[in-house]
Amino acid sequence: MSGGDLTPRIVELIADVLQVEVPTPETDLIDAGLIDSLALVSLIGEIEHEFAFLLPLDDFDLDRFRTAEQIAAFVAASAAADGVGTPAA
Amino acid sequence: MSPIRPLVPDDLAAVAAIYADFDGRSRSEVPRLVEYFERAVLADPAADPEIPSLVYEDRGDGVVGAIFSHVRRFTDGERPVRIAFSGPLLARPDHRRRGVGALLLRRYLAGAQDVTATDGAVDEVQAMWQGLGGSTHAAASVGWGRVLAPAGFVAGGLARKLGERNGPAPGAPLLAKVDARASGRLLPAAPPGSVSELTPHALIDLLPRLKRQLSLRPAYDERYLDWLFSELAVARVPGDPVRRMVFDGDGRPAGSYVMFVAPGGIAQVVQVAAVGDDVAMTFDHMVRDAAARGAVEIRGRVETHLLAHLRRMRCRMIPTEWTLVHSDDPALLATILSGRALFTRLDGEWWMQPHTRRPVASAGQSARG
Repeated sequence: MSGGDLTPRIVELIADVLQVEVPTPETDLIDAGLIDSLALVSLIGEIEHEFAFLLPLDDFDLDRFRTAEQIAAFVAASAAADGVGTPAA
Repeated sequence: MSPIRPLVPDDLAAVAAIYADFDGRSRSEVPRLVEYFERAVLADPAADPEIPSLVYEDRGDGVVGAIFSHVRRFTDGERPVRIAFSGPLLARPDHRRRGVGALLLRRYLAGAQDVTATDGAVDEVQAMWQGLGGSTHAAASVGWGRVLAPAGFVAGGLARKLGERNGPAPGAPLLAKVDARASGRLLPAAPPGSVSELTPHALIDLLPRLKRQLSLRPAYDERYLDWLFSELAVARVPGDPVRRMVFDGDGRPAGSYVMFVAPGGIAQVVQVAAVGDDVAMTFDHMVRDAAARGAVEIRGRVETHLLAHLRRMRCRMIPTEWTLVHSDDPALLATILSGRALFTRLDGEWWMQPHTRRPVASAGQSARG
């Protein structure tokens, strides 16, 4: 399963956690002002809880966390690297 | 490659500039801030290369955020424990909404320390810590206070509202006469025993005596305490540091206290090291000492081992900064949160913030966030 398959779930999580409707999966959440420190903490925590693994600390690249689409790809890649396999959407 | 890495001395100018901007200071204060960070962070004898201060380095803009690390050595029974107090958490304003502060804090919490803590957090930082699995130390997030000289207290409060700094109020001699008449009711009776200067050696000898009630306690050594006491002497907390050892009527060490006392202002307690019945004696000596030095009110942070005495003294409770803790060790966390620890402001960073240091010209808001 690719990041693309996870995108709808990430959009849903953002809506649940941040109370924000993402206009499109390509919307830049940082440019749109939807992510600040608190929002990021909430989102990371919820993603880790939802998909049951820890996002990487060392190579956490914020530029890969700008859109729902990128987040989904990042989650898929991180989960694969973590050895837990691709999370289910 | 991670944008987060350990802070090196060459980063300090950039970090100090972020701090100055955030705090609304002139860039001319940057050298003083650099001097502070060099002395209070890099030259800290307890600094631990495994638990460094961190910076966030953006590919284009260079250093855009930092979190400072103050490592403190404790012992839990015989087990060494490293507690990392996070100092200022800084992010350049144009990078703040990118979550730089959260990423720095997340990385810092995952460090080699046994416990991470802060004792000066504002609401936003508290929410961030909770989101990252931290706990609020409820008792230590409340302050206590007791008025020692009511006329001076009221006059001092009015003076502060008018923008004057903590210190003697106008008409101080007259107010002193009024307060002298009230002191018999407000001050505890003279306790037995005696006090003397608290030396590093005396404090190191005292702490093991507290171990039955306070299993987790600082593991001081003389070099560290020499440094700590020299830092107290230059802190910008209003007033002068006062360190005293208390002995009972038989000359036995009963406890110790450390506070800042501003004549005509507030005495701020940063540590009371005593347990059981010795708390009352130590506390009473401290309160009378603060009053004798001209403080109109004495304040501190609630520590669980002091709670019963604070209640007996009918101290008022005061909102204060959040004290937050984070640990993967539930037993250690329980020890701290349940009050079986000598976990005081003296070992935290509440009094160490750059805005509280004498070399910096103006006071301002903490740059946490």
